[in-house]
Amino acid sequence: MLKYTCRRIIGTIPTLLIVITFVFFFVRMIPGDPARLVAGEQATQEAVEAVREQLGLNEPLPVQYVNYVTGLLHGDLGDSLRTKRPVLDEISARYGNTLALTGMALVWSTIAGVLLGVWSGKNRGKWQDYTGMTLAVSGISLPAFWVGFLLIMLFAVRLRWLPTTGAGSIRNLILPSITLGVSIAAVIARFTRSSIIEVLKEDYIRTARAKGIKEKMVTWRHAFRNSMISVVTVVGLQFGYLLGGSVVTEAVFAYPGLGSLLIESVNYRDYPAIQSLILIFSLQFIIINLVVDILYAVLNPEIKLG
Amino acid sequence: MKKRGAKLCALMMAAVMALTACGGSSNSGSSTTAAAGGQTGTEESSAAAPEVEIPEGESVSQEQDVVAAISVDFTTMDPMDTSDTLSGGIQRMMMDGLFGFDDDMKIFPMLATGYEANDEATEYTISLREGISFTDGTPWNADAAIANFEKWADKDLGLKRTTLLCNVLDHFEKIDDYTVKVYLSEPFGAFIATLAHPACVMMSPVQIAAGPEVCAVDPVGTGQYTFGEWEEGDHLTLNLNKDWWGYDAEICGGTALAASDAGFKSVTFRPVSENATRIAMIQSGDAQIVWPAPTESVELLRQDSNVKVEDKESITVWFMTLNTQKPPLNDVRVRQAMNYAINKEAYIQVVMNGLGSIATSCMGPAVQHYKGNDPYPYDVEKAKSLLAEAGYPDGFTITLTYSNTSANQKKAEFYKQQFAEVGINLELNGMENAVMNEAIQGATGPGSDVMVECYLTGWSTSTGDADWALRPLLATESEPPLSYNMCYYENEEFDQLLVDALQTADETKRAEAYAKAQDIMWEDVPMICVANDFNAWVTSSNITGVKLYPDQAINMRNARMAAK
Repeated sequence: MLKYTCRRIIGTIPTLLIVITFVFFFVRMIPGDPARLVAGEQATQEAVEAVREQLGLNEPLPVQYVNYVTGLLHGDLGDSLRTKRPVLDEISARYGNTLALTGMALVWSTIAGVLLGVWSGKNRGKWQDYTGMTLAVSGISLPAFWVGFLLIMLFAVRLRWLPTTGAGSIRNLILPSITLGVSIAAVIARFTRSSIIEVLKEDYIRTARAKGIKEKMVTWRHAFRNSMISVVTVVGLQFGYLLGGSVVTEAVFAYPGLGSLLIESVNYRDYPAIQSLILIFSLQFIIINLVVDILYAVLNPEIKLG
Repeated sequence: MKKRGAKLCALMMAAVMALTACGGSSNSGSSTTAAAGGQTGTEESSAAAPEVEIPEGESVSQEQDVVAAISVDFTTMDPMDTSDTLSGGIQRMMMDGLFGFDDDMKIFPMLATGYEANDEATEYTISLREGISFTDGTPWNADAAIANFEKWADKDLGLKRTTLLCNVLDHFEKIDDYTVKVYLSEPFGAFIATLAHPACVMMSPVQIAAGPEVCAVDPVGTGQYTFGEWEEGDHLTLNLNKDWWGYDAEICGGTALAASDAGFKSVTFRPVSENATRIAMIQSGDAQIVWPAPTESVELLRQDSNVKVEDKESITVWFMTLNTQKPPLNDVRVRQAMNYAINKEAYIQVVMNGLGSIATSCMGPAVQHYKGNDPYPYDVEKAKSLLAEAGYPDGFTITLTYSNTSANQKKAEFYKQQFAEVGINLELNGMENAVMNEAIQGATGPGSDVMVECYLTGWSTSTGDADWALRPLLATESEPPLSYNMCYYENEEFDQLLVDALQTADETKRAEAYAKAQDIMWEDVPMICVANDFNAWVTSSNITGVKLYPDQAINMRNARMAAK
């Protein structure tokens, strides 16, 4: 197990290298001149050139690349073109916010999704199934910005129970995490349902029932546990996506997370910030995949890690 | 492993591309010189909302913390490194300039009391106001002024606004503690107007000595507010400075700049990019001040008795540039015909929801040395006959380039329909903002060779002086990539007038030269000036005295609040 984990960790290094290189050149392929954007709307050519030189954008690309990679090895992500401050500071200031929002959204949506999925799957073809799946399809179909505004109108403007925007307290997290979690809960519910249906067809379920085990026990001990593998995969993937900055939700609630930082950075063609953010998103993905793989083994000892 | 890597790359590519695409649309808000679209009707229309009367001394604002929701985040707190109006406006609350703007953007002395200049506009002797300190205790005097001048002149700091003055500032002389003489390296008649620019506010010499990194995050000035904290992406807070010199009638030389009970205990600015969220914030009471007010919400908000929508003509002008070196636009009759073909009244109604006024120059009326001219009336017959005279009785096809925001798309379609009436086929070429900037502002080569024909844009004269409206947009020296003469307009007489106006400090002579220059451009139509934009902002109904300057910066100098 330990050996396997170590091997997987070492295996991520080439992936990361590819990511770093790709992102570096990709970001520079986006049309638009950052010097001009940084210099501002009414800047003269002279001002633009001064900015270009100051930001080191007049250096040849390979030189910039070497500088960037050397910096990375020293843990230096570079300075933001927009604010001139270290990118690492900007990201770390917001990382906690994104983590809190994602975590809260994931927790409630996993619980809700699993319950809804089991309920539907167990009662396949009955009204419970139709209700559950109608909810799930709605959850997937409703755009996040619409759900977000609806919640704001109801809970912030009409009832005045919760704040419209901001970060820092649990109260600030409620509306955005609901918005963010709706579609994930729906996806999880659908996966759980089909997985439960599969498992319920298995021989060992019939055996369990034949032995006279209570239905509740059959559902949760036997069927649910065995259907968890696919659910864990989905939850892991969703977590990775969410950590990549829930751009729309963060914009609607003016939530100071990584998603809003990414949008601002792209608008300014803030190369160092974009690079660093995508690098971090990729890193998160790799780590989550690793954790999911390890969780497989915990859930099903038959899976051998080799 | 390999497969996973490939998937990851594909994912990243998709992410980058999607973001570029959506980046374009959201970018326009901040980088088009003004708020997208127009704003509210006339001054009378705002009078419809009953104004709260607060008797003298009864404002509770100094005990109130307020929240202001704004559209984008701040970039820096160093005025000389600021290229966006929003950051500049906040800085002006903490730091005062030698000269400032009154509510209508007329220039008046703040930290200065007056100036004298030589005829050639190369030497300015500025007398400073006495009895003022920076909020860190450093006295305001000639040494402090010179420390700021030296920072402005220092190209090596690489600050974005340095080119405003670094090429003209030569050296400085301290005459006495409260008099300083500035020597310019060349005549610059717009010097005093430039000193009123938001970038030229005075910072404590202590911060300047600490370097640009400190100036960017910890500004100290002489202003009505002091810097509190700034959590990027979330909020920035300013606290009231009750000892501000502007409250002291004696120091102000008669009348105080603000009533003694004006100003908020603290103001917290929250960047909220979504229009609808900003509106929800004021409706829910989470914010007390919101700007810019989204055009589409203005009508709705006027129905709400808890909030107050106000508006005022800004200095932003919307226009279409015509490349005067490309046929058929090189014929003045064609350009005039195109001007006659636009129904500006309809434009304001259709495109700006009625929240604008017909342009009478390429600068707004609040700009110093503005001279209005009669708008070209909507006259299809006249347009057709001018086209026929120029040899295009059946019209022609021409391309309009613009940044593809939804507001611009609406404008472009309006123009297409209007030009079709006179036989001109307008081909629409909407581009992502940064891509377009590179193609148009970055273009090299003579006007006859570049891609741009007609181009949709706006301009806000940030110095408040005619020089910054005419020179960057229309002088021969300003053709891209050097500056913004997308008309590729070349007129020696016009150029000479701009030079003359800069070579004197006599404001009467400057006014004459700029008036003549505006007459020439109005006749020559290198650009079709269509409409002046309106600023609109929203406050809780118990707040008075919160305004936007015509340059869109916030003005809370005399903000007061009635007890609920």
